[in-house]
Amino acid sequence: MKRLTKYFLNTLILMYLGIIYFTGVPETNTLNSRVKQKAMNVAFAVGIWPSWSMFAPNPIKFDSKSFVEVTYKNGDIKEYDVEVEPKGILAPFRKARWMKYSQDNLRNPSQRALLNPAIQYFRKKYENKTNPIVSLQIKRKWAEVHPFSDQSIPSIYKTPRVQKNEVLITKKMED
Amino acid sequence: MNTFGKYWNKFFFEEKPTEGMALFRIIWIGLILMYFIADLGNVQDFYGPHALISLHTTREQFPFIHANLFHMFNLSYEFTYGLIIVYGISLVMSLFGFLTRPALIVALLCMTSLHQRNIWLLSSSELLMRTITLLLIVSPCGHSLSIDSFLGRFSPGFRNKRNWPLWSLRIIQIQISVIYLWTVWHKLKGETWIEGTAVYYATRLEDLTNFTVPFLLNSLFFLKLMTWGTLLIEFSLGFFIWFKKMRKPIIITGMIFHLCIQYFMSIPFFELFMIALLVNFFTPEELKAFADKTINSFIEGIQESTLGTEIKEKIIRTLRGQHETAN
Repeated sequence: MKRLTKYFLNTLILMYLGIIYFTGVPETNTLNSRVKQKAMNVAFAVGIWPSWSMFAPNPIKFDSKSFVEVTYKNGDIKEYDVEVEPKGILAPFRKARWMKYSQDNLRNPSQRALLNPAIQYFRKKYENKTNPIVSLQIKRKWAEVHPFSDQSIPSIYKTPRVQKNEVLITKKMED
Repeated sequence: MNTFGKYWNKFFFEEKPTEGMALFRIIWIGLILMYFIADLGNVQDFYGPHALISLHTTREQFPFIHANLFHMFNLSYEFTYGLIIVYGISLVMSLFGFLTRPALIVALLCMTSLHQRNIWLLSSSELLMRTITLLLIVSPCGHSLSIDSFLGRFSPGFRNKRNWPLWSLRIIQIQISVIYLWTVWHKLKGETWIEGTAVYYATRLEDLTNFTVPFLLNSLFFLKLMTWGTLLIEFSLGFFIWFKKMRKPIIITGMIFHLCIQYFMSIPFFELFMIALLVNFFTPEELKAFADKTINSFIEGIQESTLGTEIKEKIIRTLRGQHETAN
């Protein structure tokens, strides 16, 4: 291998290892923080930012579902699941990304920017020209898994859950 | 320093057979192709002009400079479906190893554009797809078991060396280790992993449940064993896998571990991706032997078939010639 090629490859290897290291480590000092920001910019540009959570630091402890409640002019109220329920053998694969959107992001307080675009999307999706939509509401229903206790483990089939509801956004269409 | 330099050179630049990388390319791109097919039904909802998230929102919420073809063209169904078609073709070309490197570059560009069109749908699976495909581009994965290597017999433009420096494989291996060590490090910050309750919570999530084994999942002993066992296995996959004597048992344990997660939990693709990635820890010689054995058994099958002698000879010559092309 030519010397110049080797220098180039070594630089490439060191850069990649640097990006892996600095995007992964916490910001403990100013230098670290500056390099981390630069490394993150490169990682975002090529789409390799690190996020290997795999149930870290803790698995979530609740099942969560988001719903759209549509109120029509004639007083009809209909509730739709945000997640599309795909059919067929590929359903679990197609469903996974809907789950990510609905269960992890749409309900997340840090992702409030998603709510208005979601309202627009569902308004178009469920519009009825003869019976216009008056208001739309996105809400979340969730069920906390019974806290773990060393004394008695609930059966996998009948683990008790605490049901909760939360309205994420309500939008009147006349507004 | 000199000794370090020698180790560095041996570690990154020793030349080894490329069949292993080629085998990995076929498995990896095969999985991405499956993902691609599964995602086809989501085109209108996720990527089109009337998708769940508008391009405007994506731009506002993801302001980093990033590779995304959607920002360069007018968002329309024609463009969206055009991108999907180009992506599909480039994946098929990468799978069969035809113009492998350019095909992989196009595939990565399309993949990144689609992923970054709506980042709120992404999980670790998509991140793995992008990271490893990027590394495949710089690897010799098209040098063997590919149409390119077959065409190399007739055209010098397609001719590539069958032995190649290890550096791209090493970066993939390091990346895999980092994934495992990163997750263990972050898990150790969570109380459920320390207390031994994480598997209880993870397996009680209804939407993520696949199949169940009540005997294990209702037992305090096994729940704790599985939680701490996960930490131990993941740490081993990140660290001990580099030790020669422990490598093979750890690879096998890792594969079984991911299969078990796939059995218990409905996490599409991620576990399959991780199993595929572990293949990279077999040595290039081991993988070459496996590839040769597979081709030989295929040749034996053809010899025993009822095909005409002339056709048989042609196929066998092609297969033999393909993996006997000299450096």
